[in-house]
Amino acid sequence: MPSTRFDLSDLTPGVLAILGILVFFFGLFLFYPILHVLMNAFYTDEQFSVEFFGLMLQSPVQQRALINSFELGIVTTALTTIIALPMAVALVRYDFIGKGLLGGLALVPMIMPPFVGAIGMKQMFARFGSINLFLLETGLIDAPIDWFGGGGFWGVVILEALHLYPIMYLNIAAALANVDPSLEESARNVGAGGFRLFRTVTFPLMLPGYFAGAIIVFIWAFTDLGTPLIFEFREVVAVQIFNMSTDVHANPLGYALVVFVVLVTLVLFYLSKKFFGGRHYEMVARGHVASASKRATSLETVLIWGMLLSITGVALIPHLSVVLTSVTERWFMTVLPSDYTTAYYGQIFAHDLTLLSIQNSLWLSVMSTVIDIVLGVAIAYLLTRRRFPFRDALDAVAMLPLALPGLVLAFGYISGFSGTFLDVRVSPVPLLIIAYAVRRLPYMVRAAYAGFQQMSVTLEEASMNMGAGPLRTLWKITMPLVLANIAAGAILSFSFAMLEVSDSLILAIKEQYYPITKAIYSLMGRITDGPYMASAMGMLGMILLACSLLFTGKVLGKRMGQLFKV
Amino acid sequence: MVILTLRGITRKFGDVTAVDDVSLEIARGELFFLLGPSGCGKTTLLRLIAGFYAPDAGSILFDDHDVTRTPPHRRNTGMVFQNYALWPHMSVRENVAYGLVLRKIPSSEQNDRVSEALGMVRMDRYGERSPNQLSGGQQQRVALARALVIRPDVVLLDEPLSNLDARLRLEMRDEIRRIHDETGTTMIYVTHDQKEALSMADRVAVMDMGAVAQTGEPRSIYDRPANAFVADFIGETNFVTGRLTRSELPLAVETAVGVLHSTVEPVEDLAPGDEVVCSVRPEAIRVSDPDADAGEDENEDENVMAGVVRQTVYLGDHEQYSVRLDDGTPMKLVDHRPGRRLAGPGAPVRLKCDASQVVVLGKPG
Repeated sequence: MPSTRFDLSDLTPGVLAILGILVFFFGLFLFYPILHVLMNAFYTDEQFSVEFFGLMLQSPVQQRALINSFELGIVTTALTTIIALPMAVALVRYDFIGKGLLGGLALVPMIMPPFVGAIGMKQMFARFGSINLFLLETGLIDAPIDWFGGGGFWGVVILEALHLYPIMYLNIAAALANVDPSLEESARNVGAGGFRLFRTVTFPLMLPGYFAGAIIVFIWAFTDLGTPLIFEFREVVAVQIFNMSTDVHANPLGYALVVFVVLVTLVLFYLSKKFFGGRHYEMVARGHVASASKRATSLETVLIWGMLLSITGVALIPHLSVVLTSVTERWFMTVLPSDYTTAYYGQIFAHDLTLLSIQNSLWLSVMSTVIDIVLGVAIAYLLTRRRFPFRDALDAVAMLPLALPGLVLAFGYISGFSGTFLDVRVSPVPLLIIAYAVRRLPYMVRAAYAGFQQMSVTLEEASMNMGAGPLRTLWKITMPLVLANIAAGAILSFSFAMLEVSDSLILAIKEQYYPITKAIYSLMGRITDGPYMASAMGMLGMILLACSLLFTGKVLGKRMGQLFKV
Repeated sequence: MVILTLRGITRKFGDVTAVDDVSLEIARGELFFLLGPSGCGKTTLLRLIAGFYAPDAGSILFDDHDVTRTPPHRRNTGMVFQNYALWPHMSVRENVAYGLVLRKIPSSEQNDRVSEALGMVRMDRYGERSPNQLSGGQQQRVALARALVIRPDVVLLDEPLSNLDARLRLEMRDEIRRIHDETGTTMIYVTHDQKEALSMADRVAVMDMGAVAQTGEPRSIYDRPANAFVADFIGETNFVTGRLTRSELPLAVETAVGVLHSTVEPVEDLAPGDEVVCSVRPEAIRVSDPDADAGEDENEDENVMAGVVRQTVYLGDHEQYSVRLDDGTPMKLVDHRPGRRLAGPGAPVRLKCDASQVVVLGKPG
């Protein structure tokens, strides 16, 4: 009976105050930095001009970077599609022994930022790395193979693809599960079968869902900073922006590049809305049969197991190589390390740079998580429990950081707050905390939203009816009942903040403020024990993230996938 | 003694007027029913009384206090929700004690009152259970205890039995009535089930499209419905349309099957020439043989309509007849002594009813 229209009686002073704080927060830390970049890109000496874009397009380095980044994005998207599509079909359309286990295992590679994996991969696939040495020793090849051909291009692509295919899989699987089996049955009924059926009916129907996943993957690969840096594949847009961020005043080209990234993002989302927004097929209509999955025959089971295990196996090579590197005493011109040690795990807690960075990351992530809890719970509460004007707008804004590359935000912070008391050259701490908080807020909002939604409003009303005011009701009834969801969201936000890459690399410009990821990056520059210690640090991060994903998955169950969709 | 007064309460949601200018007075200790089909605004009205919505117009008074703008937690009402709304993270006792803790009742007294309330609803042995371990009926009892324990000015029940199975529903009807009588608490009870209302209520307000169509004791609502909606919604009835030819008692209505007389004073203002409907309850109609006593009872106290039996349904303690009058109007009637069959399908019959059983109502719409 309550209408969706807003109700003035819902706009209590408390609600207005929260809305005010949210408008202030998003205005200052989400919209202002982006607008600032836009202004600086288009206005020189208070004149509107597109001069920087001309410069950008003329410079051969920038041209190369643009082309490389597009290639990275496109090839990575194609590769993840090739990996994820058969996976999704197998896991959605077939029942087989071990389905749950393999489905869960397939998501594991998501847990590590690809640039950490890159450290291990470099060991394995280097010119005289394990793989080449193994092949040489067994006599399969005569000369070492250049695995990362194209100056590291393929290295980056492979790592991105192995990291991002779970996101693609989650989106395709959701789209596929939504295709009404009766639509396929009627196609079969008129004589379409096999691949033809998939090409003419199933694929067009799941296209909107696929495109949503493809956009995330493309933007991620297009703007990823860490992986190209590790592979020293520097002629990409992200690295160019990173280089220019250290000197935003002297070199205005950075603005133009960031605006370009924003434009690409906008165009992609606009296209997906234009082509697929209006084509929201009503597929879960009446008479819906639960998505038809069929029992796999034993041959199919073997094939599916083989496919899923090899995908996961290959995707875990970077992780395994990081593990191996982290316990390596000596690893020179041999397939496997010749001596093992756990010393690096000790050293990271003794070494100034690493210890400090762990402390920094913990502190920064805790603070950003606190902000996320406060804002995320408030937003989810408003969205589920109150009616007010511009409700949809708040929803959209809170989800915006999912689509906004971290690079753009970080660059906006550097330039927008330079010269103010938030200037990163004074201390990057406040902006790092805020950047982490903004970037991870959507996870918190969605987790809390799910909690509020599954809790009946009458439980709160019953409390008020018994004489408890709104605050006491929130504290005694609402909070205890959504606590698990809030904890899940908080832990996820926390661990992602611990492993946040682009914000950390760009914003933390003084060594005393380095978070873990920036410390790993700077360790890579040290020839002697750098990679080993970096790997040990990466392991810590992986363990942290794996534990928190396990916990979140336990609490949220099937709704977990919703966290990673746009 | 009036405990709750509603004056001109109106509440809109967007363009929909959920509650439309409702005025009611409820006496202390009354078991008062809000009865109506879904969407008639009865639950909205209850939530307005509880304070979950604020009215767009009108005022709500508890005793003589205006509580129209008082937030729900300061109203001292005890609500029983349709889905019980027991807090799953608290035990049964904690659920019941919650309102007492908020009222800063000393803990020894809290204990006594919780035990008393649980005893009242016969749940004293389940205090340490979690609500999830209780059946629907048991949860219902706990919800009732939670509402009663704070000794509220008024207990509000929102379709409390709608989630229970039929047997349990009958049992709980008696229970709620018993608890009402033992505690003397004022209760406002929302339901769409007219049997619940008729069997339990002291007084009933029948609601239609946001407005109160009629208020009164169950008997008067059934026997003297104020309009065609009430007559149709409460119990079963037959409608015969016609034109009013005399507006003084006994009323006369000219219909396609003859003139019908009524000795029931109409609630609505009706004038000769108005289009009206005559409502006749199925149990008020008798069947007689068409030839046996023809022309014998052409007086104003007894109405006669001719028709043909379409169908009969034998149900043991009574038998239902479907009759089509000569002009095509369908009539239902009930014979409570079905030992012998009055007439079979296809048989012409004469239907008789006393003028005191015919209620003349304005034609709806």
